Amino acid sequence: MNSQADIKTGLRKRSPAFLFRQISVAPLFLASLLFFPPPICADPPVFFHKKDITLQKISPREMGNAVDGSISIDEGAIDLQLSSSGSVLNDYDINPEGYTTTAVKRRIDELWEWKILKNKNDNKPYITAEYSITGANGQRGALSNQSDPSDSIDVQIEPLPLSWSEKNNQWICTGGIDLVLDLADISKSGNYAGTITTLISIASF
Amino acid sequence: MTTKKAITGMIIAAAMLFSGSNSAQAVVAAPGASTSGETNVQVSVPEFIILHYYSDLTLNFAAPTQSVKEGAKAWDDVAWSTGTYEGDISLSDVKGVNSEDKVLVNLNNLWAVRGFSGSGNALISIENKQADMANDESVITMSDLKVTRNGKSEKELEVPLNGISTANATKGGVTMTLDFSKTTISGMHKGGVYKITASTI
Repeated sequence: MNSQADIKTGLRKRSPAFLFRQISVAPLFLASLLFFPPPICADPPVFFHKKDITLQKISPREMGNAVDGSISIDEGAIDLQLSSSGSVLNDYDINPEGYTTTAVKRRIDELWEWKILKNKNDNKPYITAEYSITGANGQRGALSNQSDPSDSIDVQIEPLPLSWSEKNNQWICTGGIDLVLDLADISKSGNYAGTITTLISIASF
Repeated sequence: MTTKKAITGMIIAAAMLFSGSNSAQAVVAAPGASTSGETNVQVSVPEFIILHYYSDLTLNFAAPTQSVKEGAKAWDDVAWSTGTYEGDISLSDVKGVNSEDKVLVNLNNLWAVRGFSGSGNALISIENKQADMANDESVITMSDLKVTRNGKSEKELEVPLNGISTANATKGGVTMTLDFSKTTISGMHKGGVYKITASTI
């Protein structure tokens, strides 16, 4: 009993000064509630895993090359008929066939993630994701060369199926894409850059 | 830590928790709601070149079976005196392989290049590695080898690289002069070697 009385006495003695000093903190707290209401009624924002993505470097092997560098390819023998003055008499050409791969694919598994609170949304929402890509030179559906913007890689986007999981009373939706890069029309090496724009919509619950 | 400090810390922590920037960006997940984001992406294309070439080139010259009409000739360098021949006669413009020591050969489409380079161009060069083609004591000599494309012929030629596609490969040829002055017998003469080099630039 004595000890309880001592504690109460102590609190009484310290309370006025303690509360007075908290007055300086209280306005900050109230202001934060006023301007930034608690996210009880809101879902977290869509989270993009990376702002900048560098895709795996393209390898010559991906385009049918036997090595990861320059190479010479023997097209075999050719037999030409010439006139006595040196003019070629038979038609012929060099046709480097059999090496026709010009497209390579790069996957971005987790481009974005959206967590939706389950206590508001009992059913898993129906989400759609649309993607587009624009080269650094402004050309749509392309990545453009950073040194020569006139050189650009045609890019097709193939969306991956949305991935769903549940954790901590949240629906977690994750989206990714495959980029199909067609290198048929470029002649320059170096970095090609662009921006992927993702539009995510909730169609229904 | 005193009770005062603990409570002060809790208040500040609560203020930070409820006023974080995340809630400012939060969206209500309702039908029709949408949000968007941008991601910068880049990929590196390597520099490499693929040279297509024929490793075995056989040239079959046709025999000059036709008769050769020499036409009229003004013997300007010849002086005739009382029926006696006193000058040298040079038949420098005689037509036909039998009378020519050297023959210029122009062969198209002997090489092709594909690939990527920093400039989008490539340098093609040719080197005469083994000039003589022999058949026993008889010799044909290659000289003045050049690479050609679109009417240009040089020892080194800068050509555009049209990328990796085989359909767009840049093709070119070779010119050479064959010297038959030491050729004494017909038949296959072997041993000549030239080397074509393609480099990215």
